[in-house]
Amino acid sequence: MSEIKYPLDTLAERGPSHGRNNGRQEQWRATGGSLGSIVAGGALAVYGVSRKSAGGTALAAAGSLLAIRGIRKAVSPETVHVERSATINRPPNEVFSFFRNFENLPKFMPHLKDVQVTGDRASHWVARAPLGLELEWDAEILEEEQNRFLTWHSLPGAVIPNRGSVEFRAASQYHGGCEITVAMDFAPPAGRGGAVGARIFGRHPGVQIREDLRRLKQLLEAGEIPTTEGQPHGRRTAFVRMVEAVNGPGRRRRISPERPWAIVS
Amino acid sequence: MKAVCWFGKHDMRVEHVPDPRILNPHDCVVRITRSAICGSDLHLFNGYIPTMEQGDIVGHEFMGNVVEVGSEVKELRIGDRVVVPFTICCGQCFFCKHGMWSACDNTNPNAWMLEEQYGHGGAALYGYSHLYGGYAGGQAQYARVPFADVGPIKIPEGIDDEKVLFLSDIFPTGYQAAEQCNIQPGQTIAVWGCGPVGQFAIRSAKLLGAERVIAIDRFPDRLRLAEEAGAEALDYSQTENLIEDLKTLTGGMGPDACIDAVGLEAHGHSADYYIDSAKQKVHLQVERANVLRQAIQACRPGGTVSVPGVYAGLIDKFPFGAAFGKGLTMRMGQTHTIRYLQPLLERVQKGEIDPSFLITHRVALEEVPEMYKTFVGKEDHCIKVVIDPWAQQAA
Repeated sequence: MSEIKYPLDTLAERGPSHGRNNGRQEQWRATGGSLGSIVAGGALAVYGVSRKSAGGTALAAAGSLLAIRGIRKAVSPETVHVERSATINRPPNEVFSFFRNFENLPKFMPHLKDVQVTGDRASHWVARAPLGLELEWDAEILEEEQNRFLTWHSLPGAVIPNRGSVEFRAASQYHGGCEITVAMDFAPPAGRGGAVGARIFGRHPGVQIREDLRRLKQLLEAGEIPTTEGQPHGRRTAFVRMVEAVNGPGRRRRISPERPWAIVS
Repeated sequence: MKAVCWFGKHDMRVEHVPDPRILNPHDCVVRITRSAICGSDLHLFNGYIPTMEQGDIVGHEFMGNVVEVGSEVKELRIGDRVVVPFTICCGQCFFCKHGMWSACDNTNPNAWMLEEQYGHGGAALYGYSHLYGGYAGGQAQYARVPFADVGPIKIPEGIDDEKVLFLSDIFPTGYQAAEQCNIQPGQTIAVWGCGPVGQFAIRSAKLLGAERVIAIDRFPDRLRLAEEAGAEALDYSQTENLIEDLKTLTGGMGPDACIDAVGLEAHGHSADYYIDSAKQKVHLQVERANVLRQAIQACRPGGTVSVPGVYAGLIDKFPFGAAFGKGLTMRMGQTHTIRYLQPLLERVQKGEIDPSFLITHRVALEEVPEMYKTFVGKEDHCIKVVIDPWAQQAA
């Protein structure tokens, strides 16, 4: 699993505008997306053939291509690619230096237990996994430009090989602050299916990154991450108490982005 | 301490719960001297607001004295007397910096839930479901107040609690509703709903220079209160065709602006009211939107429809064609409460308005569950219930 293919080129190669175009787009390349391609592509092909015209032929061809792409994806597991961005009302250099000190990351990424900077470009990561397990890996910075971007990848031996980039851009004068875009690829563990890999990083890796960025924004803008844990309330029902014991307070209703494995009501 | 907790539809109870404490560095704890039941609390009572949990402390209109401050609180001191606005705001994000306080990015721990429904989150509220942050509310003896330096407004000595308590929500909410109408001298404003927010909208419209205000309701005591503020009362239960009546009253023109101070639990006797009610009963839709439809239908071309009433989900048969055809401006949303605290406090201090005119009931905490029933049934001429959390239950 040390060799993975990255659909995302480094920022340096693609230029700084990529985040603007793709910032909110995500490609969740698990079987669900492939199935959509197969069904939609197949339907398009059938419809195109039934038209019996030049336009129909073109539709049929496009549909077939889409379906074939879907089938290829479904049979060959790929890396998962996600991108998310947020606007943080602080200057880019401030956001960059807070982020660049990786030991700050667990402050807003609760799935990380600890990050140790072990060298100029090297760091050691410890993440929380379900059932009290921990995942550890080493990572290395590939490229960086002060206050603009950095890219990293995990070193061989990681259970979930991953690679990503973070871009820091001054937002427009009107919006103010810094637009931060995180792009990440990771390879779910072989033979266990994409879903298991995704769940280790969060219910959906996009949700994980979105919530991490939200907490980073809260921490840098407001100076704290909002919470209701520890506030008073009246008697909870036995069911809510049980769910709360597993999920933590205030996260009972739905699958929580932070504790996706826990029981939910 | 004692606190009013939600236990389900039509089930509020007074519980003994632990006192709140500082959880984050910008928090303070307030010993509550006065609290109130808001019309929007009735949506909780009637079970229309999702993600309430049994045992949640309710209430979002409260004031009191600061008894504890967190390590990062710079402005407030122990002993300060404050009114706490119902929206919790960080003061630092794009929205707070631009005065769009109720869109604050940083105070709702469950923003992701709201984001799934509405595309974006928004400021957390006290005691108003986990969707809106799950913060414990103020129908209690103490409350924890996050971002203590941002929201709460210090009240100088010499003004009664009851004159400033409604700065927490309904006064700014009614005022914003009127302000959104961009009232010009000589204009006529129609206000649907003469509950607390409607009453403040009526008075604010007058303060902002409206020539005429037409107040629409069916309860005589509420219409009377509107008339006391100089409004013309229109009892919708006594009319065949409200839209035509409004036209007749305005020389065929229609009101220059219409305010829907009712929201999703509207009453009426039009066909769409019965259709909405039926759908609501079988959970096909959340809203009964007949008032909003009427407001759009009645408003003059180029006029403004301002919506302080709460809506939460999807509306069927929404007359968007009429809104488009007439080129209406529609303004709505949770109140940017903090924007109005200082200017409205000054109006109270100058004696331009005394918000305590609204109060019909003063109760102890133990009586609150019963008062929800009174308020929801509009029994006993109930318009506004104020709570003294430290009062002994009346014998």
